Amino acid sequence: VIEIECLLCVEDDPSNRLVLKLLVEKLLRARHCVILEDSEEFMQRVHDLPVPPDLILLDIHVTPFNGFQMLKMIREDPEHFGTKAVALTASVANEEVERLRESGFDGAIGKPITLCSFPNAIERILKGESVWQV
Amino acid sequence: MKVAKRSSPARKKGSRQKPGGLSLDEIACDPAELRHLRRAAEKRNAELAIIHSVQQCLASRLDTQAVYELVGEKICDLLDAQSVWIITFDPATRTRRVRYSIENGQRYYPTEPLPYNGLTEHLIKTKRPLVVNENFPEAVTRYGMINIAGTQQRIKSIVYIPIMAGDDVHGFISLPDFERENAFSETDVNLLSTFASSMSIALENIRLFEETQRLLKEADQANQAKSAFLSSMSHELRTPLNAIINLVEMVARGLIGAVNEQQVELLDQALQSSRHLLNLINDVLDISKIQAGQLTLFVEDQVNIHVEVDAALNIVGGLMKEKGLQLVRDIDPQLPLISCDRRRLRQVLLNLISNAIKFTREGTVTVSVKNQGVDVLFAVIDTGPGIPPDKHSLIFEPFIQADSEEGQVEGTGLGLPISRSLVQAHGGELWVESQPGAGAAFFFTLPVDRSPS
Repeated sequence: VIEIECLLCVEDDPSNRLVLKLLVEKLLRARHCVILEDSEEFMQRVHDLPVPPDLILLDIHVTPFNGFQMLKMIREDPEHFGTKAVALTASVANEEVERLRESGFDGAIGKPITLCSFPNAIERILKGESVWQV
Repeated sequence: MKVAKRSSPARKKGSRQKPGGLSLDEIACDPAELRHLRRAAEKRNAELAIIHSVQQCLASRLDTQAVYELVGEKICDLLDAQSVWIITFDPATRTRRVRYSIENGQRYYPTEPLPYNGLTEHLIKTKRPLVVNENFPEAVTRYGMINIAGTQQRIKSIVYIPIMAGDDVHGFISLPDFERENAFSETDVNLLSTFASSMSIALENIRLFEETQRLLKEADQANQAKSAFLSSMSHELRTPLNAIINLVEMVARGLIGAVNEQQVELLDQALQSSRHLLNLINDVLDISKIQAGQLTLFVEDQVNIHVEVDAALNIVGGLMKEKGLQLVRDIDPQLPLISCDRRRLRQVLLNLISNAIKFTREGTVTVSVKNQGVDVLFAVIDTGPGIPPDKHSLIFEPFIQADSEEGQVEGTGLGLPISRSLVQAHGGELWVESQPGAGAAFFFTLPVDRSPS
């Protein structure tokens, strides 16, 4: 089981938030796991975390800032620019995945998430690999 | 012998041909006539050559004004005309518009449309050329013409040739002669009619071309809209499926609490159905992208075929065991690393192998991969009922499922058309070889080095 100090997720769909919460709880070992339902005051909430996150999972279709905008904020923040960021996306067409790569995500996990390969994907990303599991 | 009567530019300089035909004797006996006939024949040949070249030029024109210009210029050249007008009609507004006009080398560009007059109505009604060889002012009164550019007073003869569009008169070509009455012969009229009909064909071609372009553009836009809609629909459908599949799977795996055997069985059934639904969504999205020409590959270099084949076989292994089928692996140990979209390769393999399993009751499913140098040949061969040759092309048509003897066929029937498009997008080919009762063999090739498309 992988050890994570702090995991931050943004997911606006309630059922998908439940899935994330359970996946993290059952398959990963995270000391802190915060799941936001929107991206209101996103950076403020990132700074308010008890410890800086080592991994951020971002849904793309989120308001008021979408996944790309949140990633940009992270990358422009001197405290967090190196944080691993993974897109959780239900838009899995190649050109959309290509956009994610180009904008600087460390990886993407397509929805529906594949339960059996989810922990492995997270582990590889934390190790510095770029993982595109869509 | 019409050819001898042909009026020519020369006549305008005063050498008029006497009317009447020539007998063969006269032709044979009179060297002067013979010379004249030869000249006339040469001239006629030159005219035909010009008409032919005009027709050829017109065939490649895709702009109506260019057609008017070309015909106007060539008529001027060929008939040494003093003036040429090309007018078109607009039945909706009952107006006519000058498309081309020239007088003694001087171009005129009247832009305002003029209302129909008696002449317009006359040409529309008769659909025939009108020749006024004398007393033009009388014709002006009779056809209720109005003065264009002050030329009417000077006209001695004039000819009007209708330009047809199907069965309707689309406009006319007119040639006024300011010097002589009877300036136009029947041959002139025929020649001009030939121009007018070539022009009609060219204009019709342009209209059809523009219509086709418009329809193509509309179809393309409709396809793009459909594809965009399906993309967003796919996103919308995946979001709840993510919850359904994962929540069910977590319960089924006992991650949430103890579950008994029967519960696991039911949950697995629900999972299978959810995954099937997901496949259907993927197929519909894929085919719409293919049809909209928006399929993009995510090409990776150094793809290990063994890994992809194993991954595909892993997924269908359970299903094969369930049906009691035997898997035969015939995979070249020396396969090159290739450039391809790994996910798509796996998708094609999965589609072919699961089809083979689906249609085969007993026997074997053989998966074979051979290195052919420039490309790699994949084959999936089953011992199922086979496919009659007349269905071989049908099974690659989207939205059509070939009748199956095996009863109801699961799926959208899009798998094979999608697989073929995916392989073709890689620069390969996918085909079937099969006879009823002798199983089916699906082959596809992938180039080792994918040439940039």
